[in-house]
Amino acid sequence: MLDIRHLNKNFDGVQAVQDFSLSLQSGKITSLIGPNGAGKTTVFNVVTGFLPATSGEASLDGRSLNGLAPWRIARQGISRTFQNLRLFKKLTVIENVLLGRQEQSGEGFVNALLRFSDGSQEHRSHLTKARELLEFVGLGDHQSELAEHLSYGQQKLLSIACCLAAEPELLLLDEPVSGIQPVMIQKIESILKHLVFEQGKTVWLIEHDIEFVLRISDLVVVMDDGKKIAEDTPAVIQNSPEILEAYLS
Amino acid sequence: MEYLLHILILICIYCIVGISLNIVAGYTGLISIAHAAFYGIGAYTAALLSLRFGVNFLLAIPAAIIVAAFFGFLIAFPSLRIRDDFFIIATFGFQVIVFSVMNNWMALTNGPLGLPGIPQPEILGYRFESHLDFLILSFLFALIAYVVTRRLVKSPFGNLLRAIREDDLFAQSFGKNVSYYKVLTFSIGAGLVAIGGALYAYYISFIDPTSFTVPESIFMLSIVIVGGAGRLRGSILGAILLVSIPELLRFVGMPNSIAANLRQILYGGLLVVFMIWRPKGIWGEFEFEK
Repeated sequence: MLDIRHLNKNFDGVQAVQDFSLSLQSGKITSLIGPNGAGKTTVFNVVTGFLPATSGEASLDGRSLNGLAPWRIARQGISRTFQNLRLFKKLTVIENVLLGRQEQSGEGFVNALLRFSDGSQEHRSHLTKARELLEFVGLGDHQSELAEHLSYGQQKLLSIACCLAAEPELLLLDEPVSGIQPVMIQKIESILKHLVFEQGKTVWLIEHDIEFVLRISDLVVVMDDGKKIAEDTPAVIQNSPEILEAYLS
Repeated sequence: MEYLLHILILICIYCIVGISLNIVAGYTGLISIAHAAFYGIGAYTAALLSLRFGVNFLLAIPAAIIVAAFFGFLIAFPSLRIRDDFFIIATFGFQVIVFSVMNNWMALTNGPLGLPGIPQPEILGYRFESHLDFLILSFLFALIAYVVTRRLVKSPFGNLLRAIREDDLFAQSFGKNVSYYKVLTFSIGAGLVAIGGALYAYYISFIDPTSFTVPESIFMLSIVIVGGAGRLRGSILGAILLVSIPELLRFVGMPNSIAANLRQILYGGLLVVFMIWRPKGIWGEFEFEK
């Protein structure tokens, strides 16, 4: 699983992440919480290759992720969502999810030109899988809509479906339940639980909704000011005055 | 009648041009001001091969494609690591350099004197001599270009290009090697427009550097933007409109000297008008926002 050792990220003198280490446990939900500016998304960005680390290492099942381009890291089996809900807005829902599918021969130039066909077995199986995922997150009826026409909550569901399309081992979700209705939060909660308990996936999420975090997590990691200040079960974190103080200050 | 055939031939050639630039700029979002350079490389390659080495039309065309695609790769490979806006400037620089080479490397291109006397295309003994012959030939190539490109853009490859246009960094998080696709698409676009350039060379039977300038690149961009970026039929519409409308200026009784310059104002003006009023173009899918 994911192993981060002594990660440092410095932006022109601003130490955004300092000596961050974490070993994710496989098949569990880990949450990363902390006040705004604590460096949580920066950790995600460095681990997934969108930012270079200043120093430190990250590896997945022993394979180093250091210096790899984001697309290579994604291919290692890590999928992520973004804090500002990125989607391909002008593409349809099903087109978005299909993009998550790996190893599509139809994406090769020569293949697309000569051999690809809508009706080919490979493409049909990708389509089937994409449709299943949309059903799973509850967007089965919205396949042909443009992503930009979905509601915010539905777009969040879509971004999770896109992550799952790549059949990753590890999902990094940046604020998966922020800004949505309680009904949607429940929906995403049950999706995450299904992924972990039924499918054995590993989830690492950043969130500000503390109740959600305490309900769903196996492990809670707290960051403040670039540093990890706590790593423990929800029960312990809940009763720790220092943590609360860090959050409220 | 000859005049009408002439216009139709130009439309076919510019359909190929529009389609090839549409894949690069319209579908992938890579705005290039170098397209006339590749058009010119295609023209000069075909012209030189047939003039100096007697290479047959059927070989000259693939040669033009390969040479232009190669240069497309050369410029795209280093440039695509730079941010979008600077990429456009890099293509501009390349366009200027290519024109300069065409104009100054006398030994290769004959410089400003150009290459006259390009032989007519000959396939299996048949000579394409008349305007009608040439129209059929260029129409066939335009049709092939359209069909081939359509296959490409309707496939997962095409879907990926549109995703890259939308958000190239985000596309990486889906495990897609975006740089590879950008370079590949740019090279394909260069190779494809070279067909148009070669056809042009054979048609006019004389080429010189003045046909392959920055304004010409802008004209090509206008075809894509006015017709509609991200939809192939947009390029066809754009080609039809932008080739025929200036010709109408003749019938308004405008002297040629003014008409030529007015043409450039027209293309530039159209670009500005469309970017402000209807960035999607007439039939387009994509709006250039940034």
